[in-house]
Amino acid sequence: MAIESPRNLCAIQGAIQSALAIKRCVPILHTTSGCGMQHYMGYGFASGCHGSPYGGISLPSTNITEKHVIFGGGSRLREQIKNTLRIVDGDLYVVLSGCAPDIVGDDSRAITKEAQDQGYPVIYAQAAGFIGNAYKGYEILLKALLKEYEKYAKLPEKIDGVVNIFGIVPGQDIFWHSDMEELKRVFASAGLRGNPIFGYDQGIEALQNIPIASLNIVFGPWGSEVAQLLHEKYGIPTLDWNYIPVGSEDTNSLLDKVAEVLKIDPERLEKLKMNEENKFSYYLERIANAYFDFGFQEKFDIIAPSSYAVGITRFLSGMGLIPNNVIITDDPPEKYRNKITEKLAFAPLNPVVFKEDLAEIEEYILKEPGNLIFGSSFEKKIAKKLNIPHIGISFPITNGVVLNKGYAGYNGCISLLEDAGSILLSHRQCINPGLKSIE
Amino acid sequence: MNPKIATREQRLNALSAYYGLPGTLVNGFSLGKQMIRTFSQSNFDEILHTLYLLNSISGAGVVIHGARGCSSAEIYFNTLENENYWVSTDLDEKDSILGGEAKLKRAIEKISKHDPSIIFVVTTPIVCINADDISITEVLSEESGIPIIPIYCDGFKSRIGINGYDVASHSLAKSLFKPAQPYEKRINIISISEEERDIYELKRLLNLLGLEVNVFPRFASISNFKLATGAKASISVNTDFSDYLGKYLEEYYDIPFLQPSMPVGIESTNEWLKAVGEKFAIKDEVESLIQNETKQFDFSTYKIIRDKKIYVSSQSSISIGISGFLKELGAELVGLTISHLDDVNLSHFKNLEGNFPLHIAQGQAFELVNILKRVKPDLYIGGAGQAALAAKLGIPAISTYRLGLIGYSGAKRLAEKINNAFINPCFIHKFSTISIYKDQWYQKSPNWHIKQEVR
Repeated sequence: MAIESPRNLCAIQGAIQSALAIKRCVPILHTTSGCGMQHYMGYGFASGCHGSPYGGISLPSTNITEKHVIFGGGSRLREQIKNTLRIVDGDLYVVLSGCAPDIVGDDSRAITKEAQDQGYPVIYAQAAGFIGNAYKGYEILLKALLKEYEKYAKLPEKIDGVVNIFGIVPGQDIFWHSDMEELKRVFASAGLRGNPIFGYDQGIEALQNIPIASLNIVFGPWGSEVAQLLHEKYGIPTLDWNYIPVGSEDTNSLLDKVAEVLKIDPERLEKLKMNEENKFSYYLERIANAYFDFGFQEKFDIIAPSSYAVGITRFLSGMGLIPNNVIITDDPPEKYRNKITEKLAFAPLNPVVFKEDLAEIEEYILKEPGNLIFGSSFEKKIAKKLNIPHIGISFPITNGVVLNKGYAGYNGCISLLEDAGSILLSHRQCINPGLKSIE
Repeated sequence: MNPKIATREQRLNALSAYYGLPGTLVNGFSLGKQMIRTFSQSNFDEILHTLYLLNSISGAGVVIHGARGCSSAEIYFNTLENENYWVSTDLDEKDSILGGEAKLKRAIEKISKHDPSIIFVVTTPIVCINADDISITEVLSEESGIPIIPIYCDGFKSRIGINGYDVASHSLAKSLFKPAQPYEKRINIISISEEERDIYELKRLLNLLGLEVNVFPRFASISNFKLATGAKASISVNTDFSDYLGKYLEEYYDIPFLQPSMPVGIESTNEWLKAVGEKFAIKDEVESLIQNETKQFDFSTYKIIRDKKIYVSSQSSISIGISGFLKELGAELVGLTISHLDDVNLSHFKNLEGNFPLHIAQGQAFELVNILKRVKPDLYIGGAGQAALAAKLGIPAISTYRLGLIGYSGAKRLAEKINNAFINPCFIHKFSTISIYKDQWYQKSPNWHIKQEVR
């Protein structure tokens, strides 16, 4: 149905964002000229001012016009693929067709195949905007990468302990970059090799390592189908973790679970867990007084996609905060919704709901609002109306730059405490305006 | 009157792709000769320009009738521009076959709850290709009493992004202009995309001349449109953008349309004011105002800019404006990229000084970097998303995006920004020099992928 202020962008934009998150991967759009720019203004801006050398006005696009709509745009695509391969330097090229050519019936897959047959590392993914939202686009891209694997990569020799990381969606999950880096770091500390697939220095090599992994972990509802594909084709087991672990308790549980499947030296694991817990205790000690004196224990509302909604709520509950409204915005498939509600552990005061429409979200919050809001920049309006602190944790973030900050794992939760604490503190500074106001 | 208009290519012979000596182009500029690209990169299309314009209208609600991705830019506009409400009809595969009328009705209902003063329904490629009927807007408008204006954007018929401004302008003019009481001291400023500080500057100057200033469509409410037909004259700011509305008022309401060059820089601002002085018979007052304002600008502060070689890339009118100002500052223009060429702006390029090729492109970063590598200017002045490209090539750069270039205060801001770039160019050395283009691209001519369209 019609949606007010949609925050989950369209499939092709999700696919573009995911493709751009792979080093030296070049998206080739077959669509009208605006799609690439709408992506740039959506993800490029609202996921923390995120630019990319292959994106924005550098994004190859057929920019089809009326004659292509009437007579077909196949030859334009063929020409664009040929010329992109000639002048843009990349390791992998992904053709993505948009709404217009798909409706008109261009056979983009066949035209891409022509280039593949000539030995070029180019694949095709059908991710037109009307197929679904950006999460769908992420899944579509990954599936295409795996299905056409042989066309751009050879299966490398097996390396032990590679763990594929799925379910954290570039762009839509604002802190995806840092969260993946943190998980990689955590796995490395445990003697494993985390494979985030997207992000800094993740290129063809990361893609090549997917089929030789020893385990898939899916950190949200998105990516399960991809993990399933890998299980069928390469026999890789999957751990459905369903949310992004925030804090030592959940990260410890994750590692314990992984240790059941993969070989982790138990002594090394215990040492790692103890070290991280001690580090967290040390930092917590530092803000212990602030926690009480500035009133951190509050009822909070959280408006976020499944992965963070669950992960952050669990962590904050562990910190004594009280979940009031939990509104999940990424429209996960029905079969995941129960799992999500179960995982919350500490039951929120009001039933968990799944909403995307901004008016509906505001209406729901207004029924029984909490005293803190963790949400996207769209929620700033209602936070202002209620005069309560607002902490930005989900897409879109329109007043922030996000580079390598995130809230996942052992390090991330400390950043979360910093950010939430800072905003709370500065909000508290405004509520004692001095005697002048009552004179 | 037809709700749809022909494209800029059809109405004004607009051209969006070229690289070559301006003389050859300008003298040979002829009807129907279109240039196309065999390799291209994403750029701002007409839907984006339409949304940009509509979003700034006071109290407007915008319904984007299409797949949800077509409304992604609203997140950007709503934050950086004007806070308004928007709803996407979120058309999916099924709707693209069966039609999206039910969703459109629902979308209009949703947005009506916020009590907008006006609702715009913007169409997108899916709706256009499927020839979806959106006449339900008339019925719903009557029922609710809220004006609902359909904006027929295709998103693919024109290559010229600013066609979107024309499309929106046409619908606004058709729906909102009504005959009004004339007032001889009223002047319309037709502003499409100027920053608030630009409008403030122009208002300030014209108010000092005793004129009543009516600004639209930028930041306008319905009443501004109503007042428009009672003005003594309209004046453009960006000559390319203002063209449609200015000429519409002239043709249908006999309001003379003044089209001086865009007031960027000291000299152009003086000329812009003189055009007003001429029309409103207040030449002496204008002369006095100009003298007072210009003496506040000290060119010697910016002597570092003298003799520097500068490349300018921007929307056509803005490029002309900046080039003029650079000449005043004593700098040398060594290259120019404009967004498009057409009957409206052609004459400005007939008199272009300097023996360098003219580049016509919206975006097309690959051509820009090829040109910059050859030209190696001391400074690059670009629009949104472009300056970083030059910086990565080791060329000091500034962006004019959201700067506010208009009038005397705009001139000062621009001069300051250029000055800073020369004073401290350290930032550009921090980038990796690895290009996303293969070496062989740089060896080709920048217009390698520009060809004449075969009809």
